[in-house]
Amino acid sequence: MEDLQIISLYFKRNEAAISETATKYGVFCHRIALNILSISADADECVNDTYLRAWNSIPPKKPDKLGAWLGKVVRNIAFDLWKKNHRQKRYAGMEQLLSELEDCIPSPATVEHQIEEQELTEVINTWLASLPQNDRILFMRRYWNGETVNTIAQENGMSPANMAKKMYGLRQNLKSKLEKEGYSL
Amino acid sequence: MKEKETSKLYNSITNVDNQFIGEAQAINRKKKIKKFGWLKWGALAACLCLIIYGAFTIFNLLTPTSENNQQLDAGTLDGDPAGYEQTADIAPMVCINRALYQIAGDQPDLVGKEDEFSYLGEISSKVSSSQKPTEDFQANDNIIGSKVYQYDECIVVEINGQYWLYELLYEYQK
Repeated sequence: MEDLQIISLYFKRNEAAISETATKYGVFCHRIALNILSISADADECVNDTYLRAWNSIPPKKPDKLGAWLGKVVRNIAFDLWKKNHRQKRYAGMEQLLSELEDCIPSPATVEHQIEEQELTEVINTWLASLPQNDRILFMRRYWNGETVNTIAQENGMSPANMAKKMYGLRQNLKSKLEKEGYSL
Repeated sequence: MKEKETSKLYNSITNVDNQFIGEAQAINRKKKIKKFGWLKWGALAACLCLIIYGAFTIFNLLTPTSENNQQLDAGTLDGDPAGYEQTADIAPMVCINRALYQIAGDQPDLVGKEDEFSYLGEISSKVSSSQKPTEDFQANDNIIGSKVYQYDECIVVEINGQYWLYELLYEYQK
């Protein structure tokens, strides 16, 4: 089913929207979540939360590209879950204490914070556009899709060590761009 | 602090332009198609092998066999004059009295004409279906034991109770 038809089901509040989303993008979303979390059950949970967020956000939101939008949502949810699990593993420490106290702080997604992130995204967009297509795809596969260096190396006929060097070069290139723009991460 | 900055970078990468996301997705789609393309060609090759094997088996089942299950040489008569199928490299022939005879294209009805036959002997040897018989009472069919008669200038061979007319092709040097 076309993206527009799926979105129209969301707008009609037809629950088939979720099953159609799962049919078309379920594997894609699961792969992203699994690349980040490495645990299939956690990835399943993320994907289900993604469907719920889609149901709650569309409408009023009307994504131009449903796949990319779902990918962004699943990345955010997976990252939040990763952070939560990461903290729980260090249960007795200061980390946990701070994590609990963080709940008392108003949402970190302040307008200022969002603007900062948007500006950074623009810099990264410009940097990505300046890269040769092959390098851009390698960067996106590693840092957006979360695919492993080994997988990408194998599919590009390179050794994992050479691919890791390539990735290091790309990261250094991005670092240099960010420094030029006044970011010090 | 470092974690906060890394989160910021992660979130900013998450929200990059859709065209870059689509580009990376397209590579994965191609990969998938390529993977299934290989599977498709593999399956096609397997099907072809199966079809060839099946055709070969069916051909073997339909080809007449002798009593001891040895496959007969191509070109063996099956008892139906009108339905005689020549699949040998050359036509069925017999060599009688240093002359080579080839099976007639039009088979006349010879029943009732036995009085005009003169018995010559029996086929006693054979060569392969792609060879011409060169010795007397030799055939290039597996018809050893079949009775041979002279009928005018032709030869009649009695195979499984039926008469088959062979016409003179040429005479070997005596």
